[in-house]
Amino acid sequence: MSLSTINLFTNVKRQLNYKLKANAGILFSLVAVQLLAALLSYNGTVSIGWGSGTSFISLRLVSGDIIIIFSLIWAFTAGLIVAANSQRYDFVFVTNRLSSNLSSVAVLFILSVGGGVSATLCGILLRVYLLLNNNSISSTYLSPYILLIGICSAVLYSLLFSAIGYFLGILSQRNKAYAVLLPALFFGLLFVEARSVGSTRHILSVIYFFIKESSLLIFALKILLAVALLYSAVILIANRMEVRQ
Amino acid sequence: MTSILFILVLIAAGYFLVSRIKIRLSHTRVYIGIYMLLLMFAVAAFYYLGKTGSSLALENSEARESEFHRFLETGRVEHLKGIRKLGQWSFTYRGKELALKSTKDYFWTVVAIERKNASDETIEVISYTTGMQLKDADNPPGVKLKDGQLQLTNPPPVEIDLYATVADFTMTQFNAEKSVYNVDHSLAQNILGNQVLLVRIPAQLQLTVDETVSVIEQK
Repeated sequence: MSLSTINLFTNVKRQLNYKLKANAGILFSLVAVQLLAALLSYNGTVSIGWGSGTSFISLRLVSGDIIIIFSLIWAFTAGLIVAANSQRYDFVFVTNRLSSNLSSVAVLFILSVGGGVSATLCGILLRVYLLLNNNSISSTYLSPYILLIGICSAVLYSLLFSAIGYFLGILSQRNKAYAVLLPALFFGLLFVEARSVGSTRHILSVIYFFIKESSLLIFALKILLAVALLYSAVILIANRMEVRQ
Repeated sequence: MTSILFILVLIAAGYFLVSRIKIRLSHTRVYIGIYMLLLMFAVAAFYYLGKTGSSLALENSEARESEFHRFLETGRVEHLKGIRKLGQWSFTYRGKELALKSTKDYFWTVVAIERKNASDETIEVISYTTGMQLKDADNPPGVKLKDGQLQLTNPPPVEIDLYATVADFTMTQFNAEKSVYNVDHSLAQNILGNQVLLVRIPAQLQLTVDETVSVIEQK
């Protein structure tokens, strides 16, 4: 019998603090992932060549795209890890499925914000390094407004990827087969759809639904709606799970 | 397929490594703090360099190409905005005939012939370019007067390595006009520019041109 009554908010806050400490290694790996991606981006994301008479030009386009893509993969992996660790850490506290999931969502939110912001800024770090070490460089000016758009967009993408990772992590706890089946199904369908011409492309339509959106506000609404749907599904699935597997 | 496999391997490796990294929170705070400071410093440096640093201005423009040809045909090429002199030669020549030929298969630079009003027995040759001023890239052609022949040699082959930083896809998605990969042939044309070899000859000199050289008689 418990002598003190703990409300949901206090419980979530305590679990959040604990989970942040427990998942500190994920933040550390973010730095490693971004620096590795910056190193890979150093020689350019795209290279274009032209020849004329006796001259040849090689133009390397450098952007933070690889850093952002690596950070999104990191966010997806973070979602999987937080979902896997929640089983281990949840029962240290007086908890229920709702408070556990809410605290995990809060952890992923913080990680995604950190990942999105640092991914964009790491691209700036790469540009500064190139500007200081290379004379033959053309630098596209990014206004603070454009930089802010980039940060917001990267954070939103990170939120989506971490939510997908968390959803798959929880789903695979329910049945281990999902851990193999769902990624295989996703990549398999993606591969088939990319090669098929004329037929309906469901996976690509979903991807285009996000990446073709040119209004940041509508994009944010789409992402937040998708994230809310994924977390709602997680809460529904988790409520039907055993106390501890 | 390879990229999908690469992503899967990355996820698996990331999951394996991250789930095994056990670092104290106090250490993580220090590392993350240093990293964030570095990133903040990079942002400040980026905007500082944007104002004070020098970087190449790459722009797609087809207008410059047509402007060059217009100036070339009307004999005003040296007055073209942005044109630079790469080299200049002057030869005293008392002969009545002059042959213009390439020492190799083909001379890639256009030769503009300008007849002077006076017969001053001097041949002047000037090499111009509209290309960007790049280190190790400004090589004029070889020009030599020998046995009644003005021998032209192509400049040594040049390989130019350029870097251009462009906006991330997370920025261009909401800013369609600044497409990241909107780079076309006219950009290369602007980097390399147009080369012309202006040959000023005395009014009465008889000129014969080899088929290995492209010549424009200036009006």
